[in-house]
Amino acid sequence: MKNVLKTAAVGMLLVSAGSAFAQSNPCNPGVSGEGDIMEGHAVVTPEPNPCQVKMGTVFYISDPMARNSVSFTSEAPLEDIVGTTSDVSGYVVFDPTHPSKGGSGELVVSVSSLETGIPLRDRHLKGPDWLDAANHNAISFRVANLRDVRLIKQDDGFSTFEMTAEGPFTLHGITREISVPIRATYLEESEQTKSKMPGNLLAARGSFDVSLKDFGIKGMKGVVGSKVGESIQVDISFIGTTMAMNVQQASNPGNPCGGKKAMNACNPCGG
Amino acid sequence: MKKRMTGSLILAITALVLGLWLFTGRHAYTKFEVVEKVPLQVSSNDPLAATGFYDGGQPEVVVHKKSFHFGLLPTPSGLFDKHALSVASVLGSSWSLFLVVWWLGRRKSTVNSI
Repeated sequence: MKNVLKTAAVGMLLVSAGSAFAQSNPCNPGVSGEGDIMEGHAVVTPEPNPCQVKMGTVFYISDPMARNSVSFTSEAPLEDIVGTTSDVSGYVVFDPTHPSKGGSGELVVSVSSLETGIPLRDRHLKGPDWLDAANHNAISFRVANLRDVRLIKQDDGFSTFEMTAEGPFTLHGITREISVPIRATYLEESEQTKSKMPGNLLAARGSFDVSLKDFGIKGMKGVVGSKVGESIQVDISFIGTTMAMNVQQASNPGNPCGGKKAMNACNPCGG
Repeated sequence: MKKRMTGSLILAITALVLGLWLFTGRHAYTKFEVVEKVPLQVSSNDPLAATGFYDGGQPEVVVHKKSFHFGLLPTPSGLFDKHALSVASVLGSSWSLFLVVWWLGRRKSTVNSI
């Protein structure tokens, strides 16, 4: 019974990071951000380098209210498996007034934060036969290219775009180039947007498929492809803000930065 | 009489277990929390509502909530895990017990007749 559960219940995977709009970094082509993403249990939030900051507006992705989401859906014989995590962090550098300039970004998700609703299945998902959280806890997406950008709706206070983000995607220790269709909306700060989050906002959502075998994920006894779907659908949704989390949290008299927006990673109190 | 009562009891347990499975959503596995995709209800107060962000098909959101579903199969993490309860485990143990009792009863009748 236990083996049946292991093979039938576990499926999945995946997650991914997504989004953002990117362009090769002129300061360091191929590397869009600072901060190494550590393997193992710790996942470090990526940060933009000073050169990226000059290319556009930095939107920080880190929501203490856990409203950001990366989820996956996998077909399985008895019932489809849906998993999710709200532990999404990263950044996007994008100029909404000049979208053709492109941008850059990086998103990271931790495998250890994934949940499917069944503790046993979650344990198997993070085990060595599947995502192997102990050795490859970080799933990351660094956007390197942006194409087919088009403005689809604009009015006072907002602009909505569609585009395709391309770049290296790392899962289970294996990196492959992927393309993600994205819909993004830039919102200028207003009384209505403050109810969601302070600062100017960039909301983005996208969906794409990932082949488990391409990332060396076979499951127990080759269950991938037989009892579990080979391809997994990944959905991403997040809201980035121009106000860095440390500035949001530091809105107290003891902090010299107060509630100022942190636009420059080199000078967290400056704009 | 005793056999009829035992038979009735096992049938009642079967009906109860299957009824609970049907009533709680006919899930494959026993769960006490669910992760599922549901249609997104866009509020008029949502600043993204009129921006076209949700256009292009019915938007969905993944929810993770506490919700009990009695499933066909168990998913226990340990011997006394609540996830061990399921249609298969309850009916399996009940019917096994019933068959053992029935068989022992038949054996006893055969021995007595001899």
